[in-house]
Amino acid sequence: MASTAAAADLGPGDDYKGLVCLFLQGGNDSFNMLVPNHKDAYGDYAQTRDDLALPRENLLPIASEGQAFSEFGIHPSMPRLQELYNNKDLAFVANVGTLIRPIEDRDEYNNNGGLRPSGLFSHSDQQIHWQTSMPQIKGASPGGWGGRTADLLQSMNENAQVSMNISLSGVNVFQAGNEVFSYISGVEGGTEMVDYTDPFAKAAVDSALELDYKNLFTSTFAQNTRRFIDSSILFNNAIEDKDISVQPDVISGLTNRMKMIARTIAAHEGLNHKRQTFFVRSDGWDHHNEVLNAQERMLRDIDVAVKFFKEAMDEIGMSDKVVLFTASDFGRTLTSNGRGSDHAWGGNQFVLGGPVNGGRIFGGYPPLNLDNSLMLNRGRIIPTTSVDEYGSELARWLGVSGGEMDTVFPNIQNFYDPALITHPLGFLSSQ
Amino acid sequence: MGGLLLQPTFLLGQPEDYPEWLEKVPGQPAEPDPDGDGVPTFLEYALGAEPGAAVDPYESGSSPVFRRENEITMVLLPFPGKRDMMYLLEGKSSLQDIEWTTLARKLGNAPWQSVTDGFEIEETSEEVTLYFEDWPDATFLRLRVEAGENTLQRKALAARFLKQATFGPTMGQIEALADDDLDFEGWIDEQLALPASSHLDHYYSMGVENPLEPRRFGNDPRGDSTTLKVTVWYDIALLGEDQLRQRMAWALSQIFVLGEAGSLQHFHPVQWVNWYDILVDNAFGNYRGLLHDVTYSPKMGDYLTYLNNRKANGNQLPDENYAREVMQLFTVGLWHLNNDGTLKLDDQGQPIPTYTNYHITELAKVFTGLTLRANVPGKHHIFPNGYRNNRVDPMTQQFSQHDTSRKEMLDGTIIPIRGNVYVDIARALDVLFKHPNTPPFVSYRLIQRFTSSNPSPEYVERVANVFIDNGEGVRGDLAAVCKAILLDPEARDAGYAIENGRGKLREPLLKFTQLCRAFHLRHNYANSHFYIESMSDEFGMSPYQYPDVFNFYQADFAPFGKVQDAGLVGPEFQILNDSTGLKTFTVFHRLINDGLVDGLSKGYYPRPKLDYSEVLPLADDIPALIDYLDLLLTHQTLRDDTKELIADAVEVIPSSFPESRVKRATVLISIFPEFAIME
Repeated sequence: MASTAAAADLGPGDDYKGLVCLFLQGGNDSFNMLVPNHKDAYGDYAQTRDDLALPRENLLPIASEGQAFSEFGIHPSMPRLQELYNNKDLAFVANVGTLIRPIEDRDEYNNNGGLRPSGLFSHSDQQIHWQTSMPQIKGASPGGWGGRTADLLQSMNENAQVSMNISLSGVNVFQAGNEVFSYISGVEGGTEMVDYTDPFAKAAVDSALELDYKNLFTSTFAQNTRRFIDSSILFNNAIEDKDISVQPDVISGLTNRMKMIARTIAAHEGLNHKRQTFFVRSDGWDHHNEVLNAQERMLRDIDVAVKFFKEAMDEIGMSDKVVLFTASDFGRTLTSNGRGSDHAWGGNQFVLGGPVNGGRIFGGYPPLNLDNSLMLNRGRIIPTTSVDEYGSELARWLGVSGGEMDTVFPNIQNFYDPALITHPLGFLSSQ
Repeated sequence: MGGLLLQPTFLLGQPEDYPEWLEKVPGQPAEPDPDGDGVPTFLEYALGAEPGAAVDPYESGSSPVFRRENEITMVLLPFPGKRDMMYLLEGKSSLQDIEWTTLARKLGNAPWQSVTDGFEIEETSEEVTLYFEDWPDATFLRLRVEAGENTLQRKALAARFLKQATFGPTMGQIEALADDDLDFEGWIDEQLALPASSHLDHYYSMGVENPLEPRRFGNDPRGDSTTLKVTVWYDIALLGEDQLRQRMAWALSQIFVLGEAGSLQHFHPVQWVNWYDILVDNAFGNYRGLLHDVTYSPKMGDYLTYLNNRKANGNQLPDENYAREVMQLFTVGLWHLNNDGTLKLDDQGQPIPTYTNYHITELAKVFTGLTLRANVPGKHHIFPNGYRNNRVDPMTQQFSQHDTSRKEMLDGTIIPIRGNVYVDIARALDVLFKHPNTPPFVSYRLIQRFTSSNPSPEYVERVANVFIDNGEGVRGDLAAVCKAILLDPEARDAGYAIENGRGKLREPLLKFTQLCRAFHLRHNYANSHFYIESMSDEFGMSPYQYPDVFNFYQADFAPFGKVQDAGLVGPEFQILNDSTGLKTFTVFHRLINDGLVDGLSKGYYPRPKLDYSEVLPLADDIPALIDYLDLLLTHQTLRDDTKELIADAVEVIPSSFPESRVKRATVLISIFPEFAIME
């Protein structure tokens, strides 16, 4: 019942929706992506970050309501992001991180170890926790919140033969559901079955996969192989004539993947998809050294890819039906190790798309002085917005009802009551 | 009705070399019928009679009994079957008929299988009854027994065993073991006695220029600092004599996971091959010794972040990473287990945790004060000038950083105050080693790697009991454990092989090594090593490229569909997806057709290729070709209809292209489900 009510809230029309997860693997130093530009706050920032601080005059200024001050700056490599932000296509969400439940401050953190996610500050754990949103459990066994969302929504995709969860970056935790498994596409589309153009080889393979195997493993292997071959063919047929003419300012591996996502969104009807999720990863963000130089280059890649994606969505008329969000292992230590920064916790993310209330920073942007109560050693910031809050707002938009939210985010009641609150952060509410 | 004549006829499909074959039957006299009862020794053996003792097959409990009650005809076949025999129950309506129809068959000691509709088979541990109604043609029945070389049964059993125990057998190895009367234990004993192929020694033997720091991002066609350790791995896996030891090390590497991802210093092969040698050296050693060597490994210290772990200082507490994993993954696991690997349950029917976070915190204190040894000048594999740290030799104590307070272990054992690093670690590892969970926990995981994803509790318990005591009072003897895993009835007896939930999905990497070894992939003059590339993208697994400490796949992963529905697990299915599933076939296709081409390997041209000279003479005779490949690659599990599919696709290739025929058949088998599954 609850899901019907929630679906009704979504409004009429071609109710396609697509959600894209852009994962910055390794831990983006995101307090240099979104920087305080108010005089005093910048002073705290500069003092804490020391040799890692960006010069204030280089920041690309933006303004936001709803924060302690309104002046912020974007990393100088991201002018396109600034433009998208100012056009209200893009919003930031500040200081997001993996949490089991809210942690007030340093004292609560120190006094109650049971509140802490397991494996805090470790890549493998935090990458997984961002995707499972169950940080009390080590490992990927709970599956991902994208996958659990798809478990609930896949019935909307009547007659779909290719999974609604499509990854451009291989198998991932985010899209692993209990019932839905993701379709893995290469940057050029599905993997082709070898020798399948040879009619005799094809006939033999097809017939062998049709046979009834008594052994359960043999039978499952045959069925899986059949599905892989069929999915790849269906997928490639569906995207074949869906091209994107707009070009990225600079072509990169990421823009190529973004292009394939755009083509797949354009092909949603052919795939019988009313809901899709996408996963794409950008690697190499673990900047223990050379953080400034590396970020200058890598944030530019992100900047180019995000703008390209927005233009691709405009071209196919899907801007109002697609939301892209970023995730990353963790933010990094605000203090320098002399060359770079180390693993930390809370970090800043951004969200792009027509449904986004752009031009604003959501979630509380934290003070960056080292003696404030959110600050752990080395300038590791306790997150003030949980992955649960961030993700559930996205899942709600995609169609998960309040009543179902604790299936997708089992810790959700620790943060808010989804029966009462629909948009805990507000970046997707219809204001 | 009436007039149904039951005439049991024993007709022997005797081996062509009957007298020679007879000598191989254990305990059999070398005469056709020494007891003079008219029943040949061969048949007595087949029916499970005592050697040399007079047997009347019509009266003995071991002979078939034919009986008719009302409209149902029953055949009681109260013998378990010899594993190198095939039993066929056949019928015909009139003695004038030439052809017999096969009604049911039994492979070795496997259960009877019905071949014709209208049969029902009831099998208990005591006896088997075959009922058949409305079978007017079954006026005459006979039991036929086949054995010997012609049935290929023995070779198939040898091939199956060698697929479990090696990186893949050659036809010569299959025939040798079959000829050796399937002496599996003797084969294992020979393997146990072989010297270990050291990965470190092999690396040094390669003559890499500046082996301590080979070029980091070189364009050397032979690979670079990150891939050389993988080259060592393939050289040894594909050509090493100590196959069982290397398979055991590979299995252990999937328990004691230490991958490049999340590690430091990928660019120093010496550190990595030295780490892998810990697994190789201890593969047939003692689990307690293995735990010690792993715990003191500087690579593991890096990977699980307890290198330079310090005692508590104010708000800074010892790193808990290793304390958690050494319990969760290396010894006791999360839940209390029975000795057969099943979960112990509390009064409410809930599983019982083996430890709490408190115990992790306590154990974390044990693993404090470990640091790197100094470099030893003159020791050839230690960085000479000190600017690289010694990540080769075991870590050493830094006492000032060791937490010397009292620690409580998960079972309540107290590690007393004022211990040093070595004493505390020894006490802690002793507790974990002796914990009752460790034998079934480790046994279960090792069984999964070798023979079966879902071993029965009885199988786990039999192996765990060997872990507990190797027969000489020693706990943790891995050679004995390995032997127990491979010789267990559940691993060996064909009877288990045809149960629907038995067996496992094979690791794609092991399918690859099998193809390489089956067709004698060798170094050539241009490439004295196998510079094989990472297969992570294609297989979802590759040496040293574990995604994280949880291995390529988890022990409890259950794939969607029939396996999951049956409540079974299939770990290797976790890495099987749209991408790997199809890319794996592409790799096989390229290997089979063109050898180690670009994309599969680096190296100078010409690259090593598969050698089909043994099988090429059969290319004219397609059924013989397919039978050969069926034995070599799929231990005779291809069905007749599958073989016909292959034949159809092969015969379109003219016989003037014999190698193309072989390649086509091999590619198809490499794709077929029978090749992927170890039944």
